[in-house]
Amino acid sequence: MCSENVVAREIEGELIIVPLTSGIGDLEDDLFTLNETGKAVWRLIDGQKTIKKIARELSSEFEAPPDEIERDLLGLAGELVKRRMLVVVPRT
Amino acid sequence: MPFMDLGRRNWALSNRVLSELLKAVLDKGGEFRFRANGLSMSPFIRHRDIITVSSVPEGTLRIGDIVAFLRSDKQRFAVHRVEKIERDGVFIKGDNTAESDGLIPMVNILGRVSSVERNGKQVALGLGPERRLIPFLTRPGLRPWLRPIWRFLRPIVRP
Repeated sequence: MCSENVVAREIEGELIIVPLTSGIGDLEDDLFTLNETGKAVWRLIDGQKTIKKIARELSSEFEAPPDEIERDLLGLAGELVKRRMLVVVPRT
Repeated sequence: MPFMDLGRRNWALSNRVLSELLKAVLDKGGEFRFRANGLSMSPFIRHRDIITVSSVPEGTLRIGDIVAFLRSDKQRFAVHRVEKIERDGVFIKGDNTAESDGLIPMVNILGRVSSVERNGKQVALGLGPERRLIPFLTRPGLRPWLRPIWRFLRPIVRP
């Protein structure tokens, strides 16, 4: 699921992610953006859907092989987790 | 290039993007820190100073507070000082501008400046109790009379 420590807003067609450090959104630090497919991923991340399920949904939306989507999705999710923008939710 | 990409946003933000992000961060209960752009609040906030904006709890806005706000057309965002509080909104003016921004509805007030940093140091002057006098002292007609005082204050304001 998306971390509590980020603010993400889609403005002028661009999804901008501001990491919050100790509650401060600091423009002196890095801001991040996601491309079109990254934006679709961000919208689908809800703390409920698994990576596989998101990959399947994106596969039909972008007409791309699910394996390829899943591989990219794992890469992006890993990067977002590393930067503390996503939190891993254990399966229950 | 991968199918999905996380990129760094390192180009200049437009006025609108800046105000939207500020609103989003304050709505989440955070503070927003960014670099000032312009001379309208000089000498208390100078071009390229780093300012931190916090939310304004209802009923806590005071004359002399420096606020981030949307101008009446809601298109442009600025950081200026409250010079008068009315029931319908607040009158706001830049310390270094000749003209007031006019009556700004309370809903257009995004947040209050809680700190100013210049060259890595906090700048307290202009944010403490003296801030209540600044809207009066920065009126255009008074400026010629204030030059001797400014000569005295200058070394403090511009370390």
